[in-house]
Amino acid sequence: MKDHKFQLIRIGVGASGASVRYTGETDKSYRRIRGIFVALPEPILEYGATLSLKVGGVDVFDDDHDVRLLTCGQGVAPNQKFFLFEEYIEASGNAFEGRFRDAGIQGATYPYEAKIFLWLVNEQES
Amino acid sequence: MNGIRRLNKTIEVYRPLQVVPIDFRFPGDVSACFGLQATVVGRFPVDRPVIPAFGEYSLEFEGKKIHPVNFIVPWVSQEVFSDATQHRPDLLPLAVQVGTSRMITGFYHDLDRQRLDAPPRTSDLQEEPVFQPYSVRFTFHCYRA
Repeated sequence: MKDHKFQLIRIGVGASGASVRYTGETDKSYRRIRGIFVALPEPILEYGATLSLKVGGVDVFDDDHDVRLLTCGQGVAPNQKFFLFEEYIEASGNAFEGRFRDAGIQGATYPYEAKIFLWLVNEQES
Repeated sequence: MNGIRRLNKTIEVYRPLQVVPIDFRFPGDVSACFGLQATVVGRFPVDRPVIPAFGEYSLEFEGKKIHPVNFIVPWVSQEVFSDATQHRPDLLPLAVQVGTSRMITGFYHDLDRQRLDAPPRTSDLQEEPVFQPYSVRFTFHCYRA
């Protein structure tokens, strides 16, 4: 039985201040989105970067949701890196969409790739 | 539970010691607010990796009937902060039922830490530090109705 999957979403950010829309579908073999973690290549990029997320048409993160609330330092254990959802968010092949906004910080290197990890699990709704 | 909605409200600070009023309304599908996070968005030439009390804020709910929050906002340097330390700001727990008013009012107050924590001047010719405008982002974690 497959119980966990960490689904990767890659977002290419080409220029300072870019706003990049992303879409996709969760893996249909998993029932629930348990958590999310956003990884940026440089800590400096975390200043003011935002991410929005909708799953199945329902807002999970509003516009302007700070990436710093969804990330953490390199030394944190992998299982503690994730922002955990208290609510039940259906995965099961559900469509997701959102937008990543770069804050245009001076001194950052472009282009870069932002990585979003969705933690998918097969647990039932409690 | 009908789900959770995370709402963001961003304010701008342009001057040292500025008091910025906060005044907005929750959308109709919100029934309760169970948590709040506040983060300073900006990069400053200060000589400390963390300033625990960069600003302070006060929030009232339901048209000033409920006044649950008076708190401080830290500033954290993302570059200098230890890689081994998790820097996700914690959730400040609230338990506010959202009624008919839906109004949130209050203020944010800059505590002038950019000047107070600026690196020491090495000569009289060096210019005084210039205030860098910044944002403060409030994230309200709410239950849907």
